[in-house]
Amino acid sequence: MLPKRRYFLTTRARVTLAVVACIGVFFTPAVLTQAESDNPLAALEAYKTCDPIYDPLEKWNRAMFTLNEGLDGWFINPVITSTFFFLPPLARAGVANVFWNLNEPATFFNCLFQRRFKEAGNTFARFVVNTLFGVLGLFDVASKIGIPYTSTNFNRTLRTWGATAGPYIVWPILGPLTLRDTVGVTVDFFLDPYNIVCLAKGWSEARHIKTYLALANEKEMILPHYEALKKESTDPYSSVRSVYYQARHCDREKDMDEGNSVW
Amino acid sequence: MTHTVCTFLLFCVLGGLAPSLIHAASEQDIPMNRSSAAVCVRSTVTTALSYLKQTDRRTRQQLFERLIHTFFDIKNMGDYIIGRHAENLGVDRRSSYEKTMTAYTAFLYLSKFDSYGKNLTLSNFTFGRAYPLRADKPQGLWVVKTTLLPEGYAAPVTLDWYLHPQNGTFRIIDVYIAGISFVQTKREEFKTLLREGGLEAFLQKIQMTVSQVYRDCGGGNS
Repeated sequence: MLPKRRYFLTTRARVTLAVVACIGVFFTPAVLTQAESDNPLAALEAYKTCDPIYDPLEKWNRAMFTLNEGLDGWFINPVITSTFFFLPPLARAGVANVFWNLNEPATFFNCLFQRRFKEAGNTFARFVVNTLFGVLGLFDVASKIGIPYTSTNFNRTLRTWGATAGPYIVWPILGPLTLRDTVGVTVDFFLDPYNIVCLAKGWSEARHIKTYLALANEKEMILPHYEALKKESTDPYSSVRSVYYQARHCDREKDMDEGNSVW
Repeated sequence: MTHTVCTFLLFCVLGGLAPSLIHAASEQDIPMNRSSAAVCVRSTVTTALSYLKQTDRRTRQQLFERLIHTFFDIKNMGDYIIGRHAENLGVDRRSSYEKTMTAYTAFLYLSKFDSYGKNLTLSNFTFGRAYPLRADKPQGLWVVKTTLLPEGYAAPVTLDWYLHPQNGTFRIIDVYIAGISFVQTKREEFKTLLREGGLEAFLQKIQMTVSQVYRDCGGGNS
């Protein structure tokens, strides 16, 4: 007669084991799926801090885009290119520096409006240093001595205050701006001390020359990248709109502040 | 009775811990720290710069395709660009789409790097910092910030590399050049085409672009 086999586990324990194993098997894929289903681009989308694209006037905007392309190709770009062709690189950099310096008061006020007091202090220091020691801003002495440049504008201030971007509008000649950005650009114009002096004294020609040079300088800087973008794109209108939103309506640096860093 | 209770508790504990143990083991394979994220980007940059020294356009294109294949997560990038249409790709078209996207991405990055001038290989890449996009979630996305100082170029260009851990290594899913995302721009660009012509029109268009790139490359040296 065979001895009665002794099992380590009782029948009840084996049933319990089966039940627990089933529970384990049931929950394990759930946890793994959660880790695996972390679609990186879905996550990227979730962290995106851009204003959503709102283009209810797309037909009108596409027409204006075509018009501006024509104006750029036949008139504006050749004029800009020939203006800067005669300027040596050092003089070009000087022109850019002067405009950046003239923009500092607007940046200073916008930093204050946004309660970014440290950046406001830096901007004030930059303006004083570059105006006094950089020959009215011709040379960027402030950067050389380590005072960082802050880039902000009234559009960003309005965003901070909670204003939505509004519709995307392609203006003739001026190009793409949202409604909020249009207001922002207008307010920034009146925060520029040069413009205020010109308006007060009635020096309209001086104001027009400065506006032309500022726009031309900005356009000249982005022209090669803009042309490359259009050349590579199957739908230049959509590409330009996307780049505009990313450049003017995102707040990526806010996500990347030191608080989130482990460096 | 006591034996049964003990057994029950033991299996409950083991059963409860199993998922966490398996999850922890899977995480251990992935080196989720800032040095490995930085190493991934540094390798990409070094390889790209060495490939840029090639003067033959076709060779450069091929080498960049290899680079994209090695370091980039082209599947997720491609899926993100076409959005919900990715579900309709199927197995055959997916493989062909990923191949086309690799060639297309290689072409776009090559032309972008070329726009910074021929002396790019002499330029400086400085590494800023690497960190998880959310400090509380290191198994998610990582960002490596770098700055490119192109030789003879006025201003430095920022390049932010977005990576995520995959199969024990990091893969690049997006690069922000001067604050502009590659995948976001392409997604917006193709939206209209996908809406009006559907997936077929899109695939045809991108295939045509890549064929044109190959035809241009076949011309010989740049």
